[in-house]
Amino acid sequence: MARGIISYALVKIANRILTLIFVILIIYTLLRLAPGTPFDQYLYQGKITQAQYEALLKEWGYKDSFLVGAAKVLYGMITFSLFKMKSPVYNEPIIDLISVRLPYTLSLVTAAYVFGSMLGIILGLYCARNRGTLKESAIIWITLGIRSLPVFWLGMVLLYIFAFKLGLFPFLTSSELHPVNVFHRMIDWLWHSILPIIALSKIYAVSYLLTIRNMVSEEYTNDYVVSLRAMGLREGYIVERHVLRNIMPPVITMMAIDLGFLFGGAVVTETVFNYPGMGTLIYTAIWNRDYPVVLASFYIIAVAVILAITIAEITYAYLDPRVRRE
Amino acid sequence: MTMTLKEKLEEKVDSLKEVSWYVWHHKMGRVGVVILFFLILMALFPSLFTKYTPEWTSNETFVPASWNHPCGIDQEGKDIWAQIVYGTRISLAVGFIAALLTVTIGALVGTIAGYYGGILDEILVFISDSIMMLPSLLLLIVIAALFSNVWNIWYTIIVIALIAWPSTARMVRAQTLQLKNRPYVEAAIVLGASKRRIIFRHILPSTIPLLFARATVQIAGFIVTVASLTFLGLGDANNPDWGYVMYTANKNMMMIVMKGMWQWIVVPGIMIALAVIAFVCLGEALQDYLNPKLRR
Repeated sequence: MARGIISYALVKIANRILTLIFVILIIYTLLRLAPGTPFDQYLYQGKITQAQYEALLKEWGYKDSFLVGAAKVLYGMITFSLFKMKSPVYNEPIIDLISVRLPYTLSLVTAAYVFGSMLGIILGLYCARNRGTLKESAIIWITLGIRSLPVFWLGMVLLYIFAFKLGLFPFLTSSELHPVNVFHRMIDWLWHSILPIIALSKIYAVSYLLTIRNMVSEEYTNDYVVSLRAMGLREGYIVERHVLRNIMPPVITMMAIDLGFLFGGAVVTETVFNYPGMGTLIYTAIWNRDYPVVLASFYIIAVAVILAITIAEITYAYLDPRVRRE
Repeated sequence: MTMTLKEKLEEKVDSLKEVSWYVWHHKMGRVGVVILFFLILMALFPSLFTKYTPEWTSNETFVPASWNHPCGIDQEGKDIWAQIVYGTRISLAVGFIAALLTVTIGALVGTIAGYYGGILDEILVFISDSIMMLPSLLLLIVIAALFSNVWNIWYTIIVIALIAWPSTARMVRAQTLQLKNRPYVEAAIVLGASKRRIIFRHILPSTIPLLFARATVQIAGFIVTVASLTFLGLGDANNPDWGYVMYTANKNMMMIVMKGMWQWIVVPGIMIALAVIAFVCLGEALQDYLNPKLRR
């Protein structure tokens, strides 16, 4: 009783929209439960009076009841007016704050992701083809060692060696060159981002290497590979045309899911390297109790993650009709 | 076919012996056991590894490593190696308790969702899917920072468990759906066993071995998660773990570079790496043991 791809996709999308609303409401509830407001420090420092403090609270919606606030957030989500709101700390529209930092995080995450997953897939294939040799077990043990190193620690060691001791890379990611053209800007960005990219790509390189190796070695035990070999086909052709095609659907799903989770790792990495991205924005916003910024940033991240996963699931269902039968 | 308590105990001991034998003769398992032995020794008897305590303070600050102080002295005049040794207990305990709690929540939710089915199942699956959609480390950081005034190590453990249970629940649910239609469960239903009895006596016990293997691997992940949190300054300063040493190291990076105190950065990282390797290897060995295809 296989369902059509369209009805499958529609059900999935409806489900994901509910998930998005639920997730944002969780974040909103957490923010409401947390003590403190952004104006506490002004009151404490004596910059504003008690009456002004109360007025500010009222103006920024901290006096709303829980349900009214939640309704406002949902309305803001649907109409995207969430991003036009001003941040009470920076007194700038959130969209301006985010649009400066999002490109930095996206470029960091994408570069780390592409570099890490490609390296992992290539090495994983190499390991699967040379299973049981000395080279393979050396690679696997080194990988297990690298896997166990925390990202932030790797970041600190890279900074210590390459930025402080050898002076090859800057240790603060603020543009010190004055870019004169696009090409120059790209070199400048790469020079500033190469250490965080290496630190962040480690997670993906390692997990892809191990997964691809296991999946491909399992695929190799299938009879069709044996018969293809008996037919005298080249090993490279078998991998490219048959083995890779068979393992691609789960790999695509895994890649999409991982893309979302890069954001979590990005926060820690950005802190180590003082990288001006979304991670540092969210982090300082939480400390400042700058709730609109936290909500809007989470909204963007949640949309990105959910979109990536939904597209992956639908693609998977399209490629493999068995999945549609749940 | 009733067994006496003694027979049951003997059976348990026998199966424990079998598992230990397998793990010890497993290439990765042995590495894990050896490293874990040293870490547990360090956690239980820290005074064997250092003559200083974390409370001990010197008059000098930022002293590079020497024979007396293998990792040097930090900004407050405390011995760094002593802080690392005493941190072992906290890092291991937090990882262990968090994994136990995660697996318990996950197993309960998973069996209930899988066994009862219907609307309850749909709601639980929806909630767990939604939590899985959020980047867990980011969520943890947000919660820790929001409640930083009252934060301590127990909140870290509970929040980790509340964020991490869905993947275990998903696995247990799939397992339960398979077990539900096995003849022995059907027989129990026919005999008039209550739903609670079936869940706790017939379904949960058969998922427990798998859960153990899973929890072992999860401990490794949680040790790193807790260290990341402390590294960002969101830890419990009264219970400093390995991440706390790296947090102070990151704050004093300039001094470390000037004095060449690289041990301050490197040693806590190596400790974390050792712990992760130990638990991952042990988990691999247990998983191989449970997978009869791989057992030769």
